[in-house]
Amino acid sequence: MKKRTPLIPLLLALVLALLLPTTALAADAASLDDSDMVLYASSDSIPADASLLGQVAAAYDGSAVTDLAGLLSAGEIETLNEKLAAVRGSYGITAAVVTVDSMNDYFYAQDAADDIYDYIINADGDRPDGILFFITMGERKWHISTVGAGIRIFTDAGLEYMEDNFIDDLRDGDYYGAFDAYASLCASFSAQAASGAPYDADNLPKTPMSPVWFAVAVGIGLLIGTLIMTYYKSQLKTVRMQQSAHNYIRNGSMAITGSRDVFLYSHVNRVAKPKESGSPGGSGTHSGSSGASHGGRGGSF
Amino acid sequence: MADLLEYKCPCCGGAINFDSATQKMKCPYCDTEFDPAALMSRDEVLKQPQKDHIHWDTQTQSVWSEDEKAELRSYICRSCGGEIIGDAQTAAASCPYCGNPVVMTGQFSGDLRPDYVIPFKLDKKAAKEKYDAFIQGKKLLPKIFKDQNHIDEIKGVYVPFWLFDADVDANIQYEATRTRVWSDRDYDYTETSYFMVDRAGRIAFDRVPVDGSSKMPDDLMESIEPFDFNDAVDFQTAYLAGYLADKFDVGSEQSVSRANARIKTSAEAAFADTVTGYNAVLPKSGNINVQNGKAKYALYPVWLLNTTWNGKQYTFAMNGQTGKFVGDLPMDKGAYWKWWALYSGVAGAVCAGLTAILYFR
Repeated sequence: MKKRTPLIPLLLALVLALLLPTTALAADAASLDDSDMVLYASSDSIPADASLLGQVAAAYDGSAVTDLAGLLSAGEIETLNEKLAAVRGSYGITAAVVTVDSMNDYFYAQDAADDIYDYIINADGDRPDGILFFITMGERKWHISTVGAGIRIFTDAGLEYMEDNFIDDLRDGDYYGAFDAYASLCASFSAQAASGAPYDADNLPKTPMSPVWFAVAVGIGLLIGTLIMTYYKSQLKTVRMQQSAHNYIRNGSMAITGSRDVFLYSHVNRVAKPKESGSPGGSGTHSGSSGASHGGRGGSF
Repeated sequence: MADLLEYKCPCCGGAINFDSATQKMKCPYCDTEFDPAALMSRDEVLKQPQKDHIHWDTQTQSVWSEDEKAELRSYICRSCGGEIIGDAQTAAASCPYCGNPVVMTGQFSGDLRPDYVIPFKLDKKAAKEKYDAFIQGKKLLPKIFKDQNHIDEIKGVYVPFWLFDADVDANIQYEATRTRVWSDRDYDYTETSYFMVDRAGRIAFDRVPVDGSSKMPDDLMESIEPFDFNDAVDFQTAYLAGYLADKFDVGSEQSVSRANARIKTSAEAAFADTVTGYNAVLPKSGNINVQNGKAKYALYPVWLLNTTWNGKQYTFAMNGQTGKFVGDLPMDKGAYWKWWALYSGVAGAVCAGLTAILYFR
């Protein structure tokens, strides 16, 4: 994970906190209405201009996928919505995807993702546990933000594992593939966490076994087969020269007349033990502008 | 201290010097320190002439009497030149070596009379039964070979052996190492201690047999060893009745080297067994003197079975005293690859399965 100077997000959060009272108020006001109304209420109160939150809020309809960048077909959105809704249905974890063309007034994808979750998806406060996959095409950045129980379910190591699974698709422009992998992983991570032991540094899902292992196994098989056949072959060969004459040693004739064991020297070889490099596991967190605690991971593609 | 100049480090081979500060010999290359006394004694031992002395008294005294010669007949195979003897009543139908039926009978002539004979204890029927059991349970033996299962001829042959007694004096030096392993929090330690080990002593061998017939394959005869000499009796021509006897055509002087090689191997192994308490023992130098070797001439009982299959002759031999049965058999190559593929496939599948189980556990 990339190191960030903690000061910068803090400063930005401060600036945002000053800039955003309108959005926050609008979201607060909207929370009184039912979710369908949020769309219109917030789009009314926020000018649908350059503000990222305004754009997302205008497009957000309560479903899991908000594809402002237009990366997905309607059918793909429907499939993803179903998959992600199932995660919420089964585990109470809100799993969402938001794509935008540009972050506009945001500089960091982390802040954008955190705020989208806090001020739009969880505007009503009824979705305290969740995960958001945010990508912005203009900056070619992605960020996954986790909240509440999501922080526990999607550990730092777990998110790194997720990245490994979708980053290639993301880079290749197969956005549906990336989101589909994300949706599947959301389900399997939630299921794993429900069993009591979330995927973490020492407990990651297994990657498929490398074919090298099968080659080695087959090689060992060939070796065992050859050894067995060597045994059967040896049954046919019984004629060989004797190596020794031990059958003919005269009983009790062996006598040691001189015996000396002289110590010459010794040396000690010292090898440093390999250091244990255990990963601490768990999730690091930071606070967003709303004051909610977030975990997450992000990068470029 | 000019005589110290030439010492070489036993560890790395570099020239070593006396270190006055520690009062020890110290190798400037690998920093190993030695006790000068230990080093000097080691060097002295290595400088001693290490020559093996082998002396054999190969003379045997007894010769055939005229009466015995009259009773014996000599048979010479026209095909392979093998010469065998039998008493006047024994009719050799075919050569025991090559199976050729044309055998020429001649008057026996020879010089040395055997000292001992171990009479046959097992008969032809026992040899046949042993053969039948011998070809069972061998997966790669061609089925046709087993089914046809015909033995051309079974012959009881007294095979001439030279027996060598030997007293061995040995003085062997070993380089031995003992390792000790321990660990603390940060390091694993391996301490290797080097020792110079001397063993001197005696060991004796009784009647090491060497096949005295050039026609009889040496490996076949050594394979049916050992014979138990306790059953041996002084030679009488009467024991030859009904059997064939081979005449030695390899002299005891030529056979000595073979006995010598085996005796040396056994003596070395016996002395190496006395060097205990080390992790590794490597013989460095030594001398093995074989003395007072006394050669005797004996006839040992062997059943020979011949069969021809696919144009190739297969010879089996059974120890006529102990019943030990040997002989190389043909291999069914098709069956070999079939079974190889089967076993390899099963083992490979099991390995792959185990790997997968361990991996996904």
